[in-house]
Amino acid sequence: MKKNIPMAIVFVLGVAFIIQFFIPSRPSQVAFNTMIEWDLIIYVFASVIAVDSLVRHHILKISRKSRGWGYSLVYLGAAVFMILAAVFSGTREGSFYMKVFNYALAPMQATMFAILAFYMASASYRAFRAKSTEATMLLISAFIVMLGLIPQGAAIWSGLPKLSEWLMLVPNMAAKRGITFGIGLGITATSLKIILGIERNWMGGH
Amino acid sequence: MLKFLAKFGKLDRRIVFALLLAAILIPLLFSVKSRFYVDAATRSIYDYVDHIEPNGRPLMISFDYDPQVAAELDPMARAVLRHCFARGVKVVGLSLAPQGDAIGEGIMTKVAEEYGKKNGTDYCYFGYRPGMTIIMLQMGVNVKKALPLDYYQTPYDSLPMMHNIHNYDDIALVLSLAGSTYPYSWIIFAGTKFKVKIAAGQTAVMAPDNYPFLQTGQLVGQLGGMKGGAEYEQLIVEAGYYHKSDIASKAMSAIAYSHLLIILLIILGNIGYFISKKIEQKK
Repeated sequence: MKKNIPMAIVFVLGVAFIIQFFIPSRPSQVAFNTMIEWDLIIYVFASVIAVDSLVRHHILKISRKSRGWGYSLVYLGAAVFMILAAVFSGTREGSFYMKVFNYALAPMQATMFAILAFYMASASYRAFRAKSTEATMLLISAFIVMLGLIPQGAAIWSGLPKLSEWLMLVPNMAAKRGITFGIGLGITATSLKIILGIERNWMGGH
Repeated sequence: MLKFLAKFGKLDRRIVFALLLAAILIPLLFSVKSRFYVDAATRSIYDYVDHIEPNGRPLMISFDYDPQVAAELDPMARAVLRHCFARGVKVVGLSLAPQGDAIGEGIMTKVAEEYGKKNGTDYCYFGYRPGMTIIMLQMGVNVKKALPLDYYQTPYDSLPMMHNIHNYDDIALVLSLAGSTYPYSWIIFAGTKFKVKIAAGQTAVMAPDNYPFLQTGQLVGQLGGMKGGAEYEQLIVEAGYYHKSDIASKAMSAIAYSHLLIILLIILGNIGYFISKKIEQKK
């Protein structure tokens, strides 16, 4: 019962909304609109469960003094601090909440992301070696794209930005399109497996 | 001499870090500016926004990003907003990413102030809406149900600008600014299903993923990374919509010199690699 009812709901709704997509009639549209409203309500309940589960996880970690429990303490403290800041100062531009966001959170996150540039520079210096024909081709195309993106590239040769654009629009796009088709087919296959009850991990099983 | 050149293949990473820091800082400190080649994807967004009727259907900007990628995406948001406000195009802002909420509020308020635009009349900001794809779908049916209150808790019906906006048919263009796959979802759930025009502003890392959608026309255009922002800044300055280039144009110089440094390092690394190989073969 615990498994069959959710699976039946998924099967019926899954099939119904595949059919709905291809039938642009009024009843089909009404069903679609109703479903979206239900989705929003379900989403709110799901958010409550998500917050509850997140807080429980960290509280448990702190109470058991598990490895890295200090980070959990910082996380919960920061979350409570930001909630209180928003409640008491409001969230308009210029408020205390916005100041903490703009002058603490944003620079910290930006710094973490910016550090990537240094690792990427070091990694490309070490990894980009013309060891084979394929590696050399990759190296040359990387040079063209990098130079094509910057004004100095156009100064070296005016056709470089166009060549860089062509590389992105033709060979890059062909590869990306293949990947996108693969992802699309993967999504379709997984969705069908869920609708037909073959894939059941979403119920918490293995 | 050969031994000296071979050392280039094994530079200490701290030297690489120090050189990169210099390549970024020096152009920023000396405000080196350059002119950019504007690529077709940027130009098509610019042309599209340039043809939106003033005081007609609004442009919707979705701030779908976190502060970590704000350095790349904020300049795009400011440039597009300046273009819209200078032309009298109305703007609806929202965010589908939790932290994009405060980013959008800051940018929209500041740019609106520059042009003396009023909230509720010239622009509206709805902040973060949880539910991502559900919100995208809901707006295709009924925008009011998806965005019942604005960021300042004003009811939808009390916002004069929103009176004529019922669904995507009343939106000229949706521009999703993101560091992840939000534009992809906008294409599927809003563009394909409800035929609204979609454009993307993406970080340089994510931008190549969208090229297939540019060719199929599922994306009107794309602003790719700092370069996209700098190109848009250049376009609005040249057209007289704004008086000076913003931060993206300055930051592009730092990016340009760091690209040149990386190219130089790769060349030196390869020289060092081949020489070391030759020395080893001789031994």
